[in-house]
Amino acid sequence: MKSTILSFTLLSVMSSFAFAQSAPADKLTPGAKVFINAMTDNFDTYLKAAIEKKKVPVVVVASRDEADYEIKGTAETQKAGAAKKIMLGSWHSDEQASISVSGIKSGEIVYAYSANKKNSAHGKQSSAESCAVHLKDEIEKNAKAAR
Amino acid sequence: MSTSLRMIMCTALLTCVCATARAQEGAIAVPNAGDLRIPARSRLFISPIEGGYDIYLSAAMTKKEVPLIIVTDRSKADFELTGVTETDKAGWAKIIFMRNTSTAEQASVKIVNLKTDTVVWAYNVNKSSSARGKQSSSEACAKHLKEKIEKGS
Repeated sequence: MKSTILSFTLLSVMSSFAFAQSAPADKLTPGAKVFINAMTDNFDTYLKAAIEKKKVPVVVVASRDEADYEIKGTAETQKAGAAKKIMLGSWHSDEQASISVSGIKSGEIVYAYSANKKNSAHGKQSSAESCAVHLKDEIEKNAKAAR
Repeated sequence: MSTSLRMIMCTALLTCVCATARAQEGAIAVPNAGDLRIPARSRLFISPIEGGYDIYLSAAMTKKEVPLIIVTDRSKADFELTGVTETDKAGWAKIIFMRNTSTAEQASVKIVNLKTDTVVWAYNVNKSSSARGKQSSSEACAKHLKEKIEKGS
């Protein structure tokens, strides 16, 4: 009798705590496998190159099935018009891009970032590198917090 | 029943009550139809918006630390955000006379409680000379959404 009550007590206490605890948020960590979806104006290609150049500690995979996370994004370029070239003497384009990283299993967005570059020195490359640098910062921050 | 057994059972009961109370604090209460609250840590699905504005909104919510969990699957969400956006690029007259190349941005978003089908929040933003294009308008939406959640009404 005693052991039955004790077992019941232990079980109920454990289940109550399991119910009470909210699931920890999914976090990007070094070595995560990332799939990059196709984006407007081939921004995904620029992003892959930027991830490589900025040494972001993720593994970019070609198939979504192999990935832990996926990156979706959009990018827009506004080329300098005649008025801008003549009046402001600037030939550079204005760039804006936005990316979001979601966990494939959890379906939660774990990181997102927007870049906006007026008179972008290297067009899409600049906005892609900005995304990559901030993604790297986030991963390193998470790795530090985990230690 | 012995005293020790009674004590064990009382402790277990108390623990269960405390744990359930803790769970209810973190969990999302099932709202009534007239309930316009968006509880912190609710799960929000952002519907695709023209021009990838949904991604700008995700980024803005991350940056402004809006206390919501953004999910990519509508069936896992408590709330859904839908919206429209429009960008007017600076024309030659604006560039020449005002020496301003910034775009004019407008956006409108609304959040619907998926359980009650009630619009719980809506917001319009209009930036005639947006410093950072869509990023500025999406951050305005995120900031006001955060205020709404923190206000709790």
